[in-house]
Amino acid sequence: MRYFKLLVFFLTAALLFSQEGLSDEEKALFKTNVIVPAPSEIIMALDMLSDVKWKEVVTYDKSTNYSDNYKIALNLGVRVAQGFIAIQAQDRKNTGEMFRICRDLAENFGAKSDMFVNEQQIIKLLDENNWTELRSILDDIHLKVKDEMYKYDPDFVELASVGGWMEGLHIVSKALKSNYSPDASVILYQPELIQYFSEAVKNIKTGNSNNPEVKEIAVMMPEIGRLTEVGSGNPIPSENVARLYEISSRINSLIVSQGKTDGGPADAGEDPQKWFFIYGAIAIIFVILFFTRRKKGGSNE
Amino acid sequence: MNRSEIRKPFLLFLTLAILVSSAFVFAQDDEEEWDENITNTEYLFVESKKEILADGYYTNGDMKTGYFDETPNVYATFTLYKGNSYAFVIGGANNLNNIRASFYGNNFVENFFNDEIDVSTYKVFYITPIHNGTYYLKVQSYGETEGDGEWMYYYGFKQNQ
Repeated sequence: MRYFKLLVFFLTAALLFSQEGLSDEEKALFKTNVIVPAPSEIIMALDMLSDVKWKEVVTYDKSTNYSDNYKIALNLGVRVAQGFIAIQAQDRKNTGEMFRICRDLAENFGAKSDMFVNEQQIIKLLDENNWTELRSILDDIHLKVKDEMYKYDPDFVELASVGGWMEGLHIVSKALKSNYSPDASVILYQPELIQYFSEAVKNIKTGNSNNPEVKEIAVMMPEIGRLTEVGSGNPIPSENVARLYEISSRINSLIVSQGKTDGGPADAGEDPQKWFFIYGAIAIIFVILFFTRRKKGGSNE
Repeated sequence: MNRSEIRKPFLLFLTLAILVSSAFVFAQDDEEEWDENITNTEYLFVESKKEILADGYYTNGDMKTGYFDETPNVYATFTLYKGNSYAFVIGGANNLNNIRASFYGNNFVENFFNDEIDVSTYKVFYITPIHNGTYYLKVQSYGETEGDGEWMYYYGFKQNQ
């Protein structure tokens, strides 16, 4: 019995030592720095776990005509994800198109032409079927554009990440829905990332979040979390996958639609409250001027 | 002013110009030589990237860096996908204390690595997750010496073979 107690003591000590005595406070610190995976990571993992026909799964959206910056940021995320899928599908035409569209959208955030590999170089790589280099270039553009967007407004970086992740969810749930396998469905289990995006969307400034797209994402994130919270290593049921596809399709349609949406200010980077204060201040100045002049007029008489 | 009066200042100016430009070139060479020997996070990144690329890992080059005097303990949360293999590159440059890198999974129950890294170098840790989910990295500088050392980490991934 004494040996058994000693064994239990040493095992407990070893377990504690292996965890380096991480306290709950310290464990919470890990969550202050969540690294968002590149869209290509989930695409490559799914490609490994399931026989996906990428060309049949993806629909490419080619519009670039958006006036609001929040919407351009969301669309940039979506198109970069579609670019990665075009590369995975080894689709020459759409890979070239997605490079062009990403460049056009990124220029709205001050991204300069020297950030992008020129069109001739892309065509050359497409002719050579150099998909690895093309993926590396797209990743490089993605990072550089995010740096530029951060200078503009950090919200836009979050929106581009959310847009890209949502498109990943859309494509992966579509692929799983048409060819469900419990083993491949585990790929949608990403609790900390969903928690991170839920918080990130909540923290976006009113000027960038008071629009149907971001509102819908904020409303649906808890349900996305519930549908995927099955525990580590467990498959996500096919009915949950179908619902995830439904949610992500609706959000994707809202993001890529070109119509002017209600609730978004003309320049999403600006706070509408700012104009309320400016007009208020002007009105007060006029009132003061009015009474001052009346008073002066009265004393002259 | 005749020609001989102009010649003297001209020659003086020419000599000065040659001396200044050669001194400048000499100083530049010195600086380049010094740069070649320095270990910084950019250098560690380039060297380690060659290593993981040779092993077939792909990285988007998103390296995270910072200074130990600002953040002696670095924490990060990752989402890793079953179906991929990962290479985590962790290192320190100009650091006076060794660093320890620890990587946890399954809600901190599993410890994938817990290893020391010598000063001004990097190590590559390879992980093939059997489950999708959240994984945690801690990089810790331990020791009493204070300095302006830098930490860095990034990762690469590839499809499982």
